Amino acid sequence: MNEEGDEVESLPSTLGVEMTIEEVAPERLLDHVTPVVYQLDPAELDDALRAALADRTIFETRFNYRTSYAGQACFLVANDAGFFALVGQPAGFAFLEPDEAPAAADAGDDDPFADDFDFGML
Amino acid sequence: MPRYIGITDSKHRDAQVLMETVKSPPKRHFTDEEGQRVRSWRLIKSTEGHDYPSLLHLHPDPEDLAQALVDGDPEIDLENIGRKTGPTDRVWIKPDGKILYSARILKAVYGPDGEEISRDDFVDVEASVDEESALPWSGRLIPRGKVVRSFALVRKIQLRHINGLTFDFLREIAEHLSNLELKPLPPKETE
Repeated sequence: MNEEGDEVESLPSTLGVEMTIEEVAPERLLDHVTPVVYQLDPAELDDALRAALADRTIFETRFNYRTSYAGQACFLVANDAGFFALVGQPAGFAFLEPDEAPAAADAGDDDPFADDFDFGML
Repeated sequence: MPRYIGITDSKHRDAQVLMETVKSPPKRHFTDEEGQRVRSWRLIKSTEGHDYPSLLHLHPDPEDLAQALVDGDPEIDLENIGRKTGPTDRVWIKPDGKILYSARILKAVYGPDGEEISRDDFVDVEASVDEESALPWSGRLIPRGKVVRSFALVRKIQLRHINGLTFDFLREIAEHLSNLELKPLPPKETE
């Protein structure tokens, strides 16, 4: 069921299915968290698509490893190392308002930063 | 829960703000035939000494193990199986099913062909982020178009203000970065 209480249709797997891709701006990818990365080894690749990817164009399509009720966004990118599919979900960031009461800082037992960030690794 | 982090802007002013992960609330849920929302529980499936590897360790002969299963149901811990679990910790177990209290965790690196390339001890890297010292403004800026083709962004945190001053501080950083991005990307050869 969705938030309105309506039944949700399941989305079939996209593996082995021809999908339509759409050109998107880099900001669209930056609005997502993409924990899954596939390196693609193209069996065949249209010259126009190869040229567009080489020209730093980013494409988006839907990705479902198996039939499920929520599809994931899949971004096709290319760099000097090859072709890649980045799969993930929207980051869920909200715009902040100046008068918004911020949450209190408290590193509890479920501290998501317990493993500590190391920006020196970047 | 959010945590404090100190950051510095392009004018070398530092401030302490909050950083937090953002989890999108589930937009779908399962219901039963009466329309009641389905809840998930984690139940105990088996306990130490009652799983197949443990029993096989006690009865190496399959015939003996089969007879033991028939005679006494040693695979069933009637006291605990089916109970709901509370908070749990992950533990490592030995081949005989006993808990491993001391383990050496190694980092194994595999190549694309599945062959192991290296096996070493993990090296603890000291955290470079704490509440007391602010991260410096490095001045190294990467165009968005290059970021998305060079990195997989597998985790993101949101920085939040804690008062009006830090709201302006964060807004100015965002504005500064946004204005830089208005410039066109350099030709690919010069990246």
